[in-house]
Amino acid sequence: MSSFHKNVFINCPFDNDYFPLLKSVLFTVLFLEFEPKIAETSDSGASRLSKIKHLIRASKFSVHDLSRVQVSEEGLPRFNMPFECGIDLGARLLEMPGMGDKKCLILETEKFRYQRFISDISGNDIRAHHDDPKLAMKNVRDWLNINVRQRLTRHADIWLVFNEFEFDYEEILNGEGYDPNDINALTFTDVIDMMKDWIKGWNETKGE
Amino acid sequence: MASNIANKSALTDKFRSAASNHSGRIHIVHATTGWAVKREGTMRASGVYPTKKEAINRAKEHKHYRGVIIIHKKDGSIHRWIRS
Repeated sequence: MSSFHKNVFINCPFDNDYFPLLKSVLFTVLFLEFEPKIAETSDSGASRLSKIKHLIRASKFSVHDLSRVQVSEEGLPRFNMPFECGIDLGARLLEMPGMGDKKCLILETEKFRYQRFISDISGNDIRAHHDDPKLAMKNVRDWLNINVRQRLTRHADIWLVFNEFEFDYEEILNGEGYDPNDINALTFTDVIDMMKDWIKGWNETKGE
Repeated sequence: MASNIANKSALTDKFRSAASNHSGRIHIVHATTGWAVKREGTMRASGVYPTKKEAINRAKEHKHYRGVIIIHKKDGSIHRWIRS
Protein backbone atom coordinates (compact mmCIF):
# COMPACT_ATOMS: atom_id res chain seq x y z
CA MET A 1 0.00 0.00 0.00
CA SER A 2 1.40 3.43 -0.92
CA SER A 3 2.22 5.94 1.81
CA PHE A 4 -0.64 8.16 0.50
CA HIS A 5 -3.17 5.61 1.77
CA LYS A 6 -1.58 5.57 5.24
CA ASN A 7 -0.87 9.28 5.73
CA VAL A 8 -3.13 11.37 7.97
CA PHE A 9 -2.71 15.14 7.79
CA ILE A 10 -3.35 16.60 11.26
CA ASN A 11 -4.47 20.24 11.25
CA CYS A 12 -5.02 21.33 14.81
CA PRO A 13 -4.17 24.02 17.38
CA PHE A 14 -0.72 24.03 18.95
CA ASP A 15 -1.15 25.15 22.55
CA ASN A 16 -0.86 23.60 25.99
CA ASP A 17 -4.63 23.48 26.54
CA TYR A 18 -5.04 21.41 23.40
CA PHE A 19 -1.98 19.19 23.98
CA PRO A 20 -3.89 16.32 25.75
CA LEU A 21 -6.25 16.13 22.73
CA LEU A 22 -3.38 16.28 20.25
CA LYS A 23 -1.50 13.46 22.00
CA SER A 24 -4.66 11.35 21.99
CA VAL A 25 -5.22 11.91 18.26
CA LEU A 26 -1.56 11.24 17.36
CA PHE A 27 -1.46 8.09 19.49
CA THR A 28 -4.64 6.75 17.87
CA VAL A 29 -3.31 7.29 14.36
CA LEU A 30 0.01 5.62 15.20
CA PHE A 31 -1.50 2.74 17.18
CA LEU A 32 -3.71 1.91 14.17
CA GLU A 33 -0.57 1.89 11.98
CA PHE A 34 -1.25 5.10 10.10
CA GLU A 35 1.30 7.89 9.71
CA PRO A 36 0.47 11.33 11.14
CA LYS A 37 1.63 14.30 9.06
CA ILE A 38 1.85 17.55 10.97
CA ALA A 39 3.36 20.94 10.13
CA GLU A 40 5.79 22.19 12.75
CA THR A 41 4.69 25.63 13.90
CA SER A 42 7.96 27.53 13.90
CA ASP A 43 8.55 27.47 10.15
CA SER A 44 8.37 30.78 8.28
CA GLY A 45 5.04 31.84 6.73
CA ALA A 46 5.81 31.10 3.07
CA SER A 47 7.50 27.76 3.65
CA ARG A 48 4.76 26.73 6.09
CA LEU A 49 2.03 27.13 3.46
CA SER A 50 4.15 25.28 0.93
CA LYS A 51 4.67 22.50 3.47
CA ILE A 52 0.93 22.29 4.14
CA LYS A 53 0.27 21.96 0.40
CA HIS A 54 2.76 19.09 0.29
CA LEU A 55 1.21 17.38 3.36
CA ILE A 56 -2.32 17.68 1.88
CA ARG A 57 -1.16 16.19 -1.42
CA ALA A 58 0.65 13.36 0.37
CA SER A 59 -2.25 12.37 2.66
CA LYS A 60 -5.40 10.46 1.82
CA PHE A 61 -6.78 11.26 5.28
CA SER A 62 -7.10 14.62 7.03
CA VAL A 63 -8.20 15.58 10.52
CA HIS A 64 -9.09 19.25 11.01
CA ASP A 65 -9.90 20.48 14.50
CA LEU A 66 -11.90 23.72 14.45
CA SER A 67 -12.65 23.71 18.18
CA ARG A 68 -10.28 26.59 18.88
CA VAL A 69 -11.77 28.98 16.33
CA GLN A 70 -12.60 31.43 19.08
CA VAL A 71 -12.29 35.17 19.58
CA SER A 72 -9.08 35.96 21.47
CA GLU A 73 -8.57 38.60 24.18
CA GLU A 74 -7.61 40.98 21.37
CA GLY A 75 -11.02 40.37 19.77
CA LEU A 76 -9.64 38.38 16.81
CA PRO A 77 -10.43 34.78 15.83
CA ARG A 78 -7.79 32.10 15.25
CA PHE A 79 -8.20 31.27 11.61
CA ASN A 80 -5.31 29.04 10.54
CA MET A 81 -7.25 25.81 11.10
CA PRO A 82 -10.30 26.66 8.93
CA PHE A 83 -7.97 28.19 6.31
CA GLU A 84 -6.00 24.93 6.02
CA CYS A 85 -9.22 22.92 6.16
CA GLY A 86 -10.46 25.01 3.21
CA ILE A 87 -7.34 24.25 1.17
CA ASP A 88 -7.81 20.54 1.84
CA LEU A 89 -11.52 20.52 0.98
CA GLY A 90 -10.76 22.67 -2.07
CA ALA A 91 -8.28 20.14 -3.42
CA ARG A 92 -11.05 17.54 -3.50
CA LEU A 93 -13.82 19.91 -4.55
CA LEU A 94 -11.85 21.27 -7.52
CA GLU A 95 -11.02 17.69 -8.57
CA MET A 96 -7.25 18.12 -8.37
CA PRO A 97 -5.50 15.04 -9.83
CA GLY A 98 -5.36 12.19 -7.32
CA MET A 99 -7.35 14.08 -4.70
CA GLY A 100 -10.80 12.58 -5.37
CA ASP A 101 -10.20 9.72 -2.95
CA LYS A 102 -9.37 11.94 0.02
CA LYS A 103 -11.25 11.51 3.31
CA CYS A 104 -11.69 14.33 5.76
CA LEU A 105 -12.76 14.45 9.41
CA ILE A 106 -13.64 17.77 11.03
CA LEU A 107 -13.57 17.94 14.81
CA GLU A 108 -15.43 20.49 16.88
CA THR A 109 -16.12 21.11 20.56
CA GLU A 110 -19.91 21.01 20.18
CA LYS A 111 -21.81 19.30 17.41
CA PHE A 112 -23.35 22.28 15.60
CA ARG A 113 -21.11 25.16 16.74
CA TYR A 114 -19.47 25.36 13.27
CA GLN A 115 -22.81 26.38 11.76
CA ARG A 116 -22.45 29.75 13.47
CA PHE A 117 -19.19 30.67 11.71
CA ILE A 118 -18.51 28.28 8.79
CA SER A 119 -21.79 26.68 7.72
CA ASP A 120 -20.44 26.00 4.19
CA ILE A 121 -18.71 22.87 5.50
CA SER A 122 -22.08 21.18 6.25
CA GLY A 123 -22.26 17.76 4.64
CA ASN A 124 -18.73 16.78 5.66
CA ASP A 125 -17.97 14.31 8.46
CA ILE A 126 -18.07 16.63 11.49
CA ARG A 127 -17.86 15.18 15.00
CA ALA A 128 -17.78 16.78 18.47
CA HIS A 129 -15.16 15.87 21.10
CA HIS A 130 -16.31 18.20 23.93
CA ASP A 131 -12.60 18.77 24.76
CA ASP A 132 -12.40 15.16 25.94
CA PRO A 133 -9.29 13.26 24.69
CA LYS A 134 -11.19 9.96 24.99
CA LEU A 135 -13.96 11.22 22.73
CA ALA A 136 -11.44 12.68 20.26
CA MET A 137 -9.83 9.22 20.15
CA LYS A 138 -13.21 7.57 19.52
CA ASN A 139 -14.03 10.04 16.73
CA VAL A 140 -10.74 9.44 14.92
CA ARG A 141 -10.80 5.67 15.39
CA ASP A 142 -14.44 5.30 14.28
CA TRP A 143 -13.89 7.54 11.23
CA LEU A 144 -10.80 5.55 10.15
CA ASN A 145 -12.67 2.30 10.79
CA ILE A 146 -15.45 3.35 8.38
CA ASN A 147 -13.06 4.55 5.70
CA VAL A 148 -10.66 1.59 5.63
CA ARG A 149 -13.49 -0.95 5.76
CA GLN A 150 -11.68 -3.23 8.18
CA ARG A 151 -12.14 -3.92 11.86
CA LEU A 152 -9.73 -1.70 13.78
CA THR A 153 -8.94 -1.99 17.49
CA ARG A 154 -11.74 -0.58 19.67
CA HIS A 155 -11.20 2.95 20.97
CA ALA A 156 -11.82 1.76 24.54
CA ASP A 157 -8.82 -0.57 24.27
CA ILE A 158 -6.57 2.06 22.65
CA TRP A 159 -7.55 4.47 25.45
CA LEU A 160 -6.32 2.04 28.11
CA VAL A 161 -2.97 1.62 26.33
CA PHE A 162 -2.70 5.39 25.79
CA ASN A 163 -3.05 5.96 29.54
CA GLU A 164 -0.13 3.61 30.09
CA PHE A 165 1.86 5.65 27.55
CA GLU A 166 0.91 8.88 29.34
CA PHE A 167 2.46 7.54 32.54
CA ASP A 168 5.76 6.73 30.81
CA TYR A 169 5.68 10.06 28.91
CA GLU A 170 5.40 12.05 32.14
CA GLU A 171 7.98 9.93 33.97
CA ILE A 172 10.59 10.04 31.21
CA LEU A 173 10.22 13.73 30.37
CA ASN A 174 10.28 14.74 34.03
CA GLY A 175 13.40 12.59 34.46
CA GLU A 176 15.07 14.33 31.53
CA GLY A 177 14.21 17.82 32.80
CA TYR A 178 11.42 18.57 30.30
CA ASP A 179 7.93 19.75 31.23
CA PRO A 180 5.57 17.01 29.96
CA ASN A 181 2.66 19.48 29.85
CA ASP A 182 4.52 21.97 27.64
CA ILE A 183 3.63 21.42 23.99
CA ASN A 184 6.91 23.12 23.04
CA ALA A 185 9.14 20.93 25.21
CA LEU A 186 9.78 18.67 22.21
CA THR A 187 9.12 19.05 18.50
CA PHE A 188 6.09 17.21 17.14
CA THR A 189 8.45 15.02 15.16
CA ASP A 190 10.09 14.07 18.47
CA VAL A 191 6.75 13.33 20.14
CA ILE A 192 5.70 11.17 17.18
CA ASP A 193 9.02 9.28 17.25
CA MET A 194 8.70 8.69 21.04
CA MET A 195 5.18 7.35 20.51
CA LYS A 196 6.32 5.08 17.67
CA ASP A 197 9.11 3.58 19.76
CA TRP A 198 6.84 3.17 22.76
CA ILE A 199 4.12 1.42 20.69
CA LYS A 200 6.76 -0.82 19.11
CA GLY A 201 8.06 -1.82 22.56
CA TRP A 202 4.54 -2.31 23.88
CA ASN A 203 3.48 -4.50 20.93
CA GLU A 204 6.56 -6.70 21.33
CA THR A 205 5.73 -7.58 24.91
CA LYS A 206 1.97 -7.18 25.27
CA GLY A 207 -0.08 -9.85 26.99
CA GLU A 208 -3.76 -10.65 26.96
CA MET B 1 12.18 20.86 11.99
CA ALA B 2 15.31 19.72 13.80
CA SER B 3 14.97 18.00 17.15
CA ASN B 4 15.99 20.03 20.19
CA ILE B 5 17.00 16.90 22.11
CA ALA B 6 20.73 16.40 22.65
CA ASN B 7 20.61 12.60 22.40
CA LYS B 8 17.39 11.63 20.70
CA SER B 9 18.18 7.96 20.16
CA ALA B 10 18.86 7.51 23.89
CA LEU B 11 15.50 9.08 24.68
CA THR B 12 13.56 7.02 22.16
CA ASP B 13 15.28 3.91 23.57
CA LYS B 14 13.94 4.88 26.99
CA PHE B 15 10.42 4.97 25.60
CA ARG B 16 10.77 1.58 23.98
CA SER B 17 12.29 0.13 27.10
CA ALA B 18 9.60 1.66 29.35
CA ALA B 19 6.87 0.17 27.16
CA SER B 20 8.46 -3.28 27.39
CA ASN B 21 9.10 -3.11 31.12
CA HIS B 22 5.83 -4.01 32.82
CA SER B 23 6.70 -3.68 36.48
CA GLY B 24 3.48 -5.03 37.88
CA ARG B 25 1.97 -1.56 38.07
CA ILE B 26 -1.79 -1.34 37.89
CA HIS B 27 -3.52 1.67 36.35
CA ILE B 28 -6.90 3.13 37.26
CA VAL B 29 -8.23 4.67 34.06
CA HIS B 30 -11.43 6.59 33.34
CA ALA B 31 -13.72 4.60 31.06
CA THR B 32 -17.07 5.37 29.48
CA THR B 33 -18.96 3.43 32.14
CA GLY B 34 -16.77 4.06 35.21
CA TRP B 35 -13.18 3.41 36.30
CA ALA B 36 -11.17 0.60 34.71
CA VAL B 37 -8.49 -1.50 36.41
CA LYS B 38 -5.72 -2.31 33.96
CA ARG B 39 -2.42 -4.12 34.43
CA GLU B 40 0.52 -2.76 32.40
CA GLY B 41 1.17 -4.56 29.12
CA THR B 42 -2.36 -5.88 28.70
CA MET B 43 -4.92 -4.83 26.12
CA ARG B 44 -8.06 -5.14 28.19
CA ALA B 45 -9.21 -4.00 31.62
CA SER B 46 -9.68 -6.68 34.27
CA GLY B 47 -12.81 -4.85 35.38
CA VAL B 48 -14.71 -1.56 35.28
CA TYR B 49 -16.24 -0.16 38.48
CA PRO B 50 -18.67 2.69 39.15
CA THR B 51 -16.32 4.68 41.41
CA LYS B 52 -12.60 5.36 41.50
CA LYS B 53 -12.49 4.20 45.13
CA GLU B 54 -13.99 0.81 44.28
CA ALA B 55 -11.56 0.43 41.35
CA ILE B 56 -8.61 1.11 43.69
CA ASN B 57 -9.86 -1.48 46.19
CA ARG B 58 -10.23 -4.07 43.42
CA ALA B 59 -6.76 -3.22 42.08
CA LYS B 60 -5.29 -4.09 45.49
CA GLU B 61 -6.93 -7.52 45.23
CA HIS B 62 -5.59 -8.09 41.70
CA LYS B 63 -3.50 -11.25 41.43
CA HIS B 64 -0.72 -9.25 39.73
CA TYR B 65 -0.74 -6.43 42.30
CA ARG B 66 2.85 -5.60 43.31
CA GLY B 67 2.21 -2.60 45.54
CA VAL B 68 2.00 0.21 42.97
CA ILE B 69 -1.20 1.73 41.60
CA ILE B 70 -1.23 4.66 39.16
CA ILE B 71 -4.40 6.72 39.21
CA HIS B 72 -5.16 8.73 36.08
CA LYS B 73 -7.24 11.85 35.56
CA LYS B 74 -10.13 11.77 33.12
CA ASP B 75 -7.85 13.20 30.38
CA GLY B 76 -5.33 10.37 30.79
CA SER B 77 -2.65 12.33 32.66
CA ILE B 78 -1.42 11.19 36.07
CA HIS B 79 -3.42 12.15 39.15
CA ARG B 80 -1.37 10.33 41.81
CA TRP B 81 0.45 7.15 42.82
CA ILE B 82 -0.39 4.72 45.60
CA ARG B 83 2.54 2.70 46.95
CA SER B 84 2.26 0.19 49.74
